[in-house]
Amino acid sequence: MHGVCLGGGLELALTADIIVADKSARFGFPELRLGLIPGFGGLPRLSRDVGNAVVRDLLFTGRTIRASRAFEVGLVSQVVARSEALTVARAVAKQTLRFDSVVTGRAKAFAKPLPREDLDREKALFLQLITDPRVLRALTTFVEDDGPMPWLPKDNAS
Amino acid sequence: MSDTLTHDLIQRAATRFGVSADGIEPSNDFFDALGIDSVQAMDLLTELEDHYDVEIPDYELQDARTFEQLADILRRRGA
Repeated sequence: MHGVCLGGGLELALTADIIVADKSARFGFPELRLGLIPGFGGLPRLSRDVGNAVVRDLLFTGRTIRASRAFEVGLVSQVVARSEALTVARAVAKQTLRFDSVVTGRAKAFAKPLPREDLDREKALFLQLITDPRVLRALTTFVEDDGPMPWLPKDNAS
Repeated sequence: MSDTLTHDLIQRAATRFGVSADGIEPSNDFFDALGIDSVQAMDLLTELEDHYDVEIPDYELQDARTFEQLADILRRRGA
């Protein structure tokens, strides 16, 4: 990971087995300012990986955290110098391939369980929220906005 | 207020984005002075958090447009 990793980008990142972030990376879930929650597995997976106080902070404030903080709270596995994440991630992948793939698969099933029930609950809530016309207006504003700070909370999102 | 922290902040931010700190005043808008957009502002946030070893929630920037206001936030956060 490098640079800004927000919303859907973070949801995708959280599906990874091991996240390597360079020091430019920032992570956050700004969805609530649009009247939504992350709807593609982000919340259950974040809840699986970090403490609930961190989940609430990221979700309820929409703030972002830098890579070193994300490492401290358990969101990422390794932090490296700027521009080095891909090189290190390849080395990590190469290392994992040294182990027996069947055993690694069984270990993964144990260490990284899929929170299926929470995934279903998240999807149901997301689908419920996105039918609100105010949410569509907020999404339209988000897409069309070219102001200086589009990630910050906006009055018209409420 | 032009203090050491504000001066250091201006120097650091200017260096980060490759602009000259000469002529930048504490009361200047940091978006305009640095010529940065919102994504680059997040990079500035990371730079400041790493250097001063503080946490700055993004939403605190809503009310900060100038370098001296940014320095006030850093100060409140323990820089």
